Amino acid sequence: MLEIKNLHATIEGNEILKGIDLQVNVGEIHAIMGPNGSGKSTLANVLAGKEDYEVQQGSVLYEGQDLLEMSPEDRARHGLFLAFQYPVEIPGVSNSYFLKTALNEKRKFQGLEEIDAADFLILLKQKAKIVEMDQALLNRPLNEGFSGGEKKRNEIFQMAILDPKLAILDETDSGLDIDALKIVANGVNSLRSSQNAFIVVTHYQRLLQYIVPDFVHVLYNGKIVRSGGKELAYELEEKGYDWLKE
Amino acid sequence: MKQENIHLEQYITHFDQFEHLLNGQKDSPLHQLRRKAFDRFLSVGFPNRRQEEWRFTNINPLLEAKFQPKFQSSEKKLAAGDIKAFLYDDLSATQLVFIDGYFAPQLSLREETEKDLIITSFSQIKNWQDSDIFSIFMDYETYKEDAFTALNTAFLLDGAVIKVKDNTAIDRPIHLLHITTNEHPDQVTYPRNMVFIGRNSQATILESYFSLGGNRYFTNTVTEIHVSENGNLNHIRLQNESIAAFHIGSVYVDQKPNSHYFSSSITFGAAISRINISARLDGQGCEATLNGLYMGHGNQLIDNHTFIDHANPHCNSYESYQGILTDQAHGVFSGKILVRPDAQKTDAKQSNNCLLLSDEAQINSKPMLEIYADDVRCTHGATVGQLNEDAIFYLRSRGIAEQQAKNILTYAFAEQVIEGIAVKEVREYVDKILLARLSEDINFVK
Repeated sequence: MLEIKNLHATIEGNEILKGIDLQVNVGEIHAIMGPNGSGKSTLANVLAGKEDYEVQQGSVLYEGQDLLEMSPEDRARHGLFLAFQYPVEIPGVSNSYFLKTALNEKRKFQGLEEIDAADFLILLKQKAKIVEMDQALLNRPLNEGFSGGEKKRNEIFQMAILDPKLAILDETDSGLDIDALKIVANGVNSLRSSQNAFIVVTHYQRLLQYIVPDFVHVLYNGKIVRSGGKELAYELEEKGYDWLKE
Repeated sequence: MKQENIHLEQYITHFDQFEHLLNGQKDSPLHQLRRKAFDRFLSVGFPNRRQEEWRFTNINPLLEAKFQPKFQSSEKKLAAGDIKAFLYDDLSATQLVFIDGYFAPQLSLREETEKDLIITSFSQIKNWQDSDIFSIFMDYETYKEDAFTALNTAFLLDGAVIKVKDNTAIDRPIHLLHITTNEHPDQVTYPRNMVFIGRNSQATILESYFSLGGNRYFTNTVTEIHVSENGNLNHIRLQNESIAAFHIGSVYVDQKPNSHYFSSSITFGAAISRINISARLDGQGCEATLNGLYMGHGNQLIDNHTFIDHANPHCNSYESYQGILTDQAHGVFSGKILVRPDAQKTDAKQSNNCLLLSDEAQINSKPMLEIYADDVRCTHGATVGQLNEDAIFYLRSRGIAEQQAKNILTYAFAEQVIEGIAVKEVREYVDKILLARLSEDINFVK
């Protein structure tokens, strides 16, 4: 589904990614771990198409297509989703209006009719349950005044509505208390299927107790320095990241 | 004759013509006022850019244009269908229509039975200079404030007079609709509105300015508002003049103790638009909210000046202006807040945010806080800039195309003022114009 080869990326002239290789197949969950500043969020943003980053070398194939050639909106329409580490507050745009627009853009792209208002309401309610979203948040302006936990939950809620093929969760666990963490993890687990894949970017092993990955990769200084199964996460929990520096 | 006086000449001629037609009324108290105002106008002359209040506003095209006043009401009678586009989708309102500055009774809708409300026009009142409402406004002498107000007063002929009696809540909005027909080129009109809200009373006034054609003309309008003790006025002012027009408008608000005034001033039209809104908080416990939305494209110059006079303790004022400018449009915002020495416990908040959607659009934004009391809270903030890149990316990452993402964010930016407009039909109208400009004018969002 996703094939990253020798990916190098810079921001404002600083090289952050220094040759990433990663293959993600459908049905898999990959965890990307690493200390702060190792390039985890950069990788997530480059995959989503953020223009601040410049790709110097390498390639990314997504379902056989050159992902790096696609606009951010096209990536999304093709089923890529980024759950942001810091979701933006957008006053004046209601959460549900925004979601309806996003969903209809995707449906248009798939050659489907726009969703009927009543069906959309049903979908909203059904998916809100998965992440235990307060219904009141649906009509509020997008993320405005949401608590940290509400914002993260809203990201997973959007993911549930848009039903992506490849979802990238960028430190979705950071700043969450254990109850919120469980809700987010439950959301991901209920959306998980043999038809989609997840990349879970995290600093801590904690989230991986609830979202069990098939593969764990350690990113350090812009490169994947180790890959392994879920037991690698436990090892990191015990040893921390200091051994990387030796 | 000095260069600046050349611009006064045509108005001297107009005033002579006007007086000539007045026969017999020259000694009336009203005409005495006109004369005083005209003398004032001649002595101060038109403003220029050496004056602080006009530093960023070039009105030369207005000063150099030649205008034709009309000293009698229009020969052309409009039918209801002609003004339908200006009625906010058949908004249920008490409606006073003014065509080229003159009251048009055949187009107006008044509930004559409404005993708690006096609603009429200057031209309809007999001996109206004896009326109590007139004497209240005579005392204000607003013509001394500014040259354009003096000019408006000198040519005062007609306009709306609204009086809400004490202890009365008027639910239906009162729509003061001013239309320039463009029947003749270069018309000049001087609409004058007076609004008196009685004690413990409340009302919603909608003041709008439209035209039937795209020619050049000049609207010089003044609205005087008195909100009595514990009164409440919601005032919506919408300016959607022709893109070739000049619009100079002043709103003077006098608030008595514990009164509330809420203004939403929306500006879309005119080549040069200058709107002054000043609120004097003349009593304790007053609250004034001045909101504004302006949207400029082409070569428009859109200037909003506000002044809030905190003359008494325990008053609050809130001010929020949002601007959207593209092409070569030029915006000016000046927000003056005066907190006088006695005005302790004042709470004043002001913000002006302006989106510049093209490289050549520009805004001059100037907050002016003059504070002479020590126990007050005053904040102001101004932002100028482009749409937030992170917000654009956020929307795009959900499958929304770049242009649409920008439109949504521009709309959301304006919505912060639109949502405060008290009348749903007006909100919808403003939404419609905003969205039409965003999608039909492909240059609007770059």
